Amino acid sequence: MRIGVFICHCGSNIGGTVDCARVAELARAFPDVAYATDLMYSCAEPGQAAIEAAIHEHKLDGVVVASCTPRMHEPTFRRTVERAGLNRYMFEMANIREHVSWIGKDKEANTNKAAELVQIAVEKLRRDKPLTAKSFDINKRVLIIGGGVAGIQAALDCADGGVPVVLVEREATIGGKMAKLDKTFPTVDCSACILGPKMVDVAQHPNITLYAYSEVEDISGYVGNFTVKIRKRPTYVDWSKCTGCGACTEKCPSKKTPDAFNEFTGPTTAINIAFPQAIPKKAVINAEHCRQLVKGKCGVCAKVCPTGAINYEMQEEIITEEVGCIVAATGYDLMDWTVYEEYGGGRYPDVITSLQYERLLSASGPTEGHILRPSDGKEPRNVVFIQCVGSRDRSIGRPYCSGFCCMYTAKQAVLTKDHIPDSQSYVFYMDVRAPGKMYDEFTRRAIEEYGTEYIRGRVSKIYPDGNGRLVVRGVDTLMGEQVEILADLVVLAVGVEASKGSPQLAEKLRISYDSYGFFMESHVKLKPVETNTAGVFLAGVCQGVKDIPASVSQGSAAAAKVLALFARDKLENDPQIAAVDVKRCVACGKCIRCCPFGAIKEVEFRGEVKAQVIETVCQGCGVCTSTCPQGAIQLAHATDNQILAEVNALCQC
Amino acid sequence: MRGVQLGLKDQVLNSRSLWMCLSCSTCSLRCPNDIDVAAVMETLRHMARKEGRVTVPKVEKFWFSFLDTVRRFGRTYEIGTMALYMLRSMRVFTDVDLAPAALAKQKLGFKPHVTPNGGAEAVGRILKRYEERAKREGVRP
Amino acid sequence: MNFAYYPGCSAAGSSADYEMSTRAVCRALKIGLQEIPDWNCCGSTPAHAVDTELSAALCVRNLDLAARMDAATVVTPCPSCLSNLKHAGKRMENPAFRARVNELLDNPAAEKLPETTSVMQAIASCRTAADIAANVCKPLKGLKIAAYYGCLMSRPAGLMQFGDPENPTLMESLLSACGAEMVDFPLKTECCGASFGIPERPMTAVNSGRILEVAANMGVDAVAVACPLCQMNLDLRQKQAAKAVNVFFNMPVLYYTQLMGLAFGFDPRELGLHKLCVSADPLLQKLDALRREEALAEAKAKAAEGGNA
Repeated sequence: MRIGVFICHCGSNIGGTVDCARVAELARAFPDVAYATDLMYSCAEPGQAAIEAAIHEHKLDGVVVASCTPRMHEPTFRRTVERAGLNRYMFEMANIREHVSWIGKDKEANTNKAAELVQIAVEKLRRDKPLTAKSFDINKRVLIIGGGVAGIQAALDCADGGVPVVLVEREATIGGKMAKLDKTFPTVDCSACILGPKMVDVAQHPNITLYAYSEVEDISGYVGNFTVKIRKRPTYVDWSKCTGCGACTEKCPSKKTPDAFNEFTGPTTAINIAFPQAIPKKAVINAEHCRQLVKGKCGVCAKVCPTGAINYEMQEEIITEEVGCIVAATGYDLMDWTVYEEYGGGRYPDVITSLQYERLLSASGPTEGHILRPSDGKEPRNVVFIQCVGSRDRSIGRPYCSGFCCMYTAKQAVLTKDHIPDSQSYVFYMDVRAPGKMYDEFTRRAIEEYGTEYIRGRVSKIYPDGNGRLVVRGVDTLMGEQVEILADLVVLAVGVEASKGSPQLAEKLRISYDSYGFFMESHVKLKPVETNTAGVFLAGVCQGVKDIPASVSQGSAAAAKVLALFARDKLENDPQIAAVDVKRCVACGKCIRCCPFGAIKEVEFRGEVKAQVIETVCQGCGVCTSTCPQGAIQLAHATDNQILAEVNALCQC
Repeated sequence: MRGVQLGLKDQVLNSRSLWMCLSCSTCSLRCPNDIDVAAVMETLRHMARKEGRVTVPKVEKFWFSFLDTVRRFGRTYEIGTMALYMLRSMRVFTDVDLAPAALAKQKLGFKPHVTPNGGAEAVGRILKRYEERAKREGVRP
Repeated sequence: MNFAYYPGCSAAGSSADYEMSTRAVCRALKIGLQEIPDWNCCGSTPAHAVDTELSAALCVRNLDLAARMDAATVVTPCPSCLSNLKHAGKRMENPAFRARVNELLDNPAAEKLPETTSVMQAIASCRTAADIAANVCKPLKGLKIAAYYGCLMSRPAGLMQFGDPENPTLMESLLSACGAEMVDFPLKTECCGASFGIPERPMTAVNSGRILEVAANMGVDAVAVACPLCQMNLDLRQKQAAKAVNVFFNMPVLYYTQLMGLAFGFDPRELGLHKLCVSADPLLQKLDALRREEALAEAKAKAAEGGNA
């Protein structure tokens, strides 16, 4: 074998603390190395050209590049060697940047370690064989999980691109959090008015199948060919008959049912349509509060329904859909702020969340758009807004900024003044974060035109003064003194967390999530929409906090990824996967049980049961190869022999 | 805290806040950055005292009056503490308005409570050793 | 159940009533309190404010005496003493600190020092609400009470282990077991102004005034406390506090043990109620009237029943 070794300086990133020329010199002594040199930027065009030229000139049949992480440039160099006529898998990478130059300053030690890593790569390459990818068909349909504004945008863009869309929404209506908002910053335009038409488009688009009040139960398969089981929860209303006329909701006697859509700011009926613009505009019975379902007597809705849509016997249903890729757009929930005992821990009715305040402001909310205190239904005079309740607070394990609270608080202060001209709003803030287009200008308006008092500092205590008002005690760090404000209403800008059930969904999708439940993108800067599982994309707050414009952008970006994937008719797998040596396999089944991707099945081979790897499903993780007691499963390009050779090389250094 | 971060040693150690802090620990509980502010304040007080900087001397005078009675009797002697404090601070009429009520309810005893069986002497020795050590180590006791 | 008992200095002076009622309640609940012989002052705020090692030495002498009594747990009614004893016990786990403290003591402290806890937690740990209710012969039903803990009982949370540091509820459970109606008192862990009543009187007056004002607005019959210093600031200094917030109060401030003792049927004098500056007499009269009415109503109901039969 004739191996070429290229040591990259990466400018001063590697060259600053590694003697690259010396590493190349040492590499020349390694077995089968026919050529070794150092390059300033191997990934740049001259660097790649130099590699290609060397392959031709020195008749190389394998290449090692020692540079950065393979996550960054392995695909780049595979294409380089392929252009020069080699099999793209006759290439190995040694990471001497993240693993060497960036973590140590001792140049001599770094140089030695870099040489060792190169030797390991050479030993591995000596045992590599040319591999060829297999191609397979794609099912050009997409599943979108979550019907908030990000999911809606992704669904509409995909559908407009000609792709059939399956949209699954957990709640009875799509629209997500945006549908609950009264107005949106920085233009103060009506949220329902700008989202409503998009929601209607979803309902009417011939390419979109909507499953509301449904959840994803199970996902199997792989990019191009996923099988999805969807659990449709019983609504007790036959939606094919329901016209959304609302007669049932008027007559329902269970008028004290908690109203989740209104964030529990007021009661609703047991049979209910979330809000006037709901999509689908269909009624749903809350089984826990329906007299017929709880006590077996009532049946009023069934009597008044003009189309006979009520069905108390309805059971949940599992639907199976086949799709080629998936977009997760599951959004967020507010964290449980009641851990803040100093704010009353949820015991004071006039301390509410920002989302509850949106419902009080909204004309479709329980107070029909009049700001009335929950405790006594009176109009407040002094409204205190508190920022960062559950954000940027390490003491409760929430170190991150929720991103959009500064802006909606400014908006809510403006709206408060619009609704009640003689009111006074106070905002306790840590920093005002308003980096978007027209955002800071909007905050300035809230302060200068609407007279909102911004107080830089945190609130340490809220308590009732015993006369129906709340004492808000905080600090003004700019004045350096304590302040106390008598408030009629306190609105908490509660921090955002990934929506409930996100970790469980991530496990079904086989994608990573962080310790707060947010889904992990493939690369924080360069692949913000992709995940590490092929064919699974992200949109909206499920990936990290973002406001409406950013969520919409990411929804469109995810759709672009879907359309790009579906622009091809066939996909190729990565051939660096596991394979079973049938002679050694004893059919113990351990590999089948341990495979996280369900990529191993049992087959009959000459009358005997054997394990077999499904090539297009296997992701090459290697769990089976280390589990197999017989050594019967080997991972191409990470065989036992290759690993031993690598260890050997290291031990001889 | 900001002063400590910026290394403004003089400003911090001469500040009144150190002496007005009641050590109620609410700050430690509420700090979003999980800083044990109360412990930092206590340490700063120790640093300030050791350097002889006491911006609000009457607070320290009260402490010494208290410790003096402990040294003498092993236990606190409320009237004794008050008397010593009035002498030290030259505030002769501190709380005298409360004395009649307190005395009438027998809340204040004229007789000191002495730790029996040599305990008072043992406590005296603890304080003596502490002062001797402080002197040896060159800090203000 | 037996505990080593550290009364704290104020037990013999300003909080003699706390001491009397604590002992009475524990006697009724058959909880043995063995006073540490020859105990000394924990050093209180002045000692720890002056020097951590000095404060620890004063505390450890007591813990060491308790260890020699073979006590596993030391209990004390006073939160300030408790905080000092707990801090000292915890810090003695550090060998370097232990060595420095031992230098100040007559003899090195015992290797294993006993745990420290409050009388309140000790009661709750070995007696259930039902046990307490079984001792009640004069229920506090009809009395509205605010439980006030002050700062030290629950803070620092990690060391004190007193439930939610912002919203402890132990006192409420004990007094509810005695029939009292406990309000959700929002200022239950605010600081009363502590020992600054003497050198910085206005500050303490404002803090205490605020606490009393909210309690009064909530319409309570009394504030229940667990700390001698809180009691002094809210009771003895109530007039100063009232002046600071410009409201007149007449709010009895009782130790929770006094309230429990009343429910257990002890004579008010036995519980030291006569030592309160703001008289608890109206409270006692209200309680008696409530119980009398109840007895009357009961008798009437019985008579009516008898008539029917």
